[in-house]
Amino acid sequence: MNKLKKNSNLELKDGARIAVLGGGPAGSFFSIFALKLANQIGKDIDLTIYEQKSFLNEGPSSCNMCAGVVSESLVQLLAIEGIILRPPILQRAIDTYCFQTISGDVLLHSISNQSGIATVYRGGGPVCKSTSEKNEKPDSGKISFDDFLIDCAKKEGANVENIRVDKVKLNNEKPEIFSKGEKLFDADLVVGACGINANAVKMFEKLGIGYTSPSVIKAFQSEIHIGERNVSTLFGNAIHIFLINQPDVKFSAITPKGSYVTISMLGKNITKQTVVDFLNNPLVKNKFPDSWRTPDAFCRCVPMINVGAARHPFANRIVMIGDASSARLYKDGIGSAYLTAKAAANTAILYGVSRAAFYKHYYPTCKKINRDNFFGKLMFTLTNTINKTPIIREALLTVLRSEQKQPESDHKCSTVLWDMFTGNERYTDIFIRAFNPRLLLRFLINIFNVIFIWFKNMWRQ
Amino acid sequence: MKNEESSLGRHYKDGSVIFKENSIGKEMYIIISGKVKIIKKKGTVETILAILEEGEFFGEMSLFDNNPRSATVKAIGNTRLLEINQKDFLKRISNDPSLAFRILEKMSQRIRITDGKILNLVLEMKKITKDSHVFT
Repeated sequence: MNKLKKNSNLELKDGARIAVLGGGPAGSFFSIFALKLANQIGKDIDLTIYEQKSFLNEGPSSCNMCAGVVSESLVQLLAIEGIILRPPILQRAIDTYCFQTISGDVLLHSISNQSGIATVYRGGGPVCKSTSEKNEKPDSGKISFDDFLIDCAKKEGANVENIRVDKVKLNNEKPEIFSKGEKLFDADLVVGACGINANAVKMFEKLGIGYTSPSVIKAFQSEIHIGERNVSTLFGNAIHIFLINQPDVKFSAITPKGSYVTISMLGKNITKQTVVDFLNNPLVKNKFPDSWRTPDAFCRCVPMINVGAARHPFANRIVMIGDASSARLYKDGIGSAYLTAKAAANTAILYGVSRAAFYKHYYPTCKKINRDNFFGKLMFTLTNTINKTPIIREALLTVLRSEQKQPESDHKCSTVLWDMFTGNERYTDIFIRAFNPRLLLRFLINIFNVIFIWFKNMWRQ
Repeated sequence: MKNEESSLGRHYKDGSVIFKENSIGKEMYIIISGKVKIIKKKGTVETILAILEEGEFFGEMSLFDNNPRSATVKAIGNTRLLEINQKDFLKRISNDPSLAFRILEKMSQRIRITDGKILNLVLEMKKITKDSHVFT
């Protein structure tokens, strides 16, 4: 252990063996970028992804459980990297966000005027609970985004083993990895891409490297089947955000995908009943077909969401990435996986796998995400306050509606809300733009207008 | 049609002009589906410089040098393109310089192909000059 700590000049040599624990986006991104870069500089590395799950089956057990929204910025970054999302991996391309409040709704259209956000299934799709669902199941078997990324990693030369690594042991020279009590090999680098739902994070906590997993909250994802035609006509290419002040619910969203809509809810003690109550809310029910009734059974899962940063996410020959390290608050988890995986891959290949190398070249990316989340917290608190204050909420809707009516306007307020809910920009940038004096002034004028109209209506009554 | 609805980017019909030579552009494009042809016009003669397919990108030169477009680009068949604007692109590169690796790799490949074409032309011209000397 001491020897590991002292050694600050560890480099991956030809034939180096890398074990990536977890085949979600973080593990696949790391593998793709590490192998690409190693190939570019003529370094021969042997990389194996250990993933117990098959992402090809239906239901939560084969799924990495999230809303499955790939932000516009990540879609573009991946396209530049040569990873292009197309059907059947791409379930629907999104170009609009609909914000539904109890005072009314407003549609925000993509500033880039194109369908830039992707919705995907992480696993093989929802479990079919009825005959109509089974009849509409797509012919193409491979719809999983995670499986698609693993295939991309395989093309770069990654090996994939469908076994679970259940023990990592620090030895004098290299970490040893084990499965079912059997030693697999001594790794030159172990990459922890195991997310936060797995027991694997505990395995790293016990290593004595100072790693502490991030704090988490529970989310609730439900897949509701309404048929492909209904998804197209009623939801189209729009993600619906509901700010309807449901008790204990922080945030609810409906994301259209294939013949289903994904309902994502965030808050305290969310249960199946909370989802049913949400679906029975008149504002939500209004979005569904008249004859539609809330189904008794639907595919659902309760994943954990990273809301804090991990401590010491690296050591000599060990690096934690994705949700097991740092993730953007409430949004763009796949984007955070991309950022941390790429920074870790670049560090490992170009600068080495020592603690010092990770501290200098990898940790700044984590710190940037963590710092940005501070502004994210402020922005979500502000949104919550606005949503709970009728006068300010009305004023916000008025500003947004007037911006959307004028295609030539600067859309300052719309872009703030768009970037915040799509996860397209850093919270720090959004925060700075939200406090633009001209925008604040316009907002203030609209607040006075709303107050004036309220008094006028009261006077008439 | 279903795939059209659920595809990323923007749709261009067969023959539609994505941008014209000498126009000012602040975007680069990645081909999601379909093909495009790169055309250069000299006088009244139009020459197809290249045909690009799915996954390839174009228009990146204007993002770096800020000069007008060097050629015209037209869609071949129904084509979907993902547009990336200059400001977003440069912001992303400043955050992660390694993002430029693939673009530089592609640009290097294109320069190599162009070098090969120039060499062939020079050799051909030399041969023509030599033949004309022999003839005279």
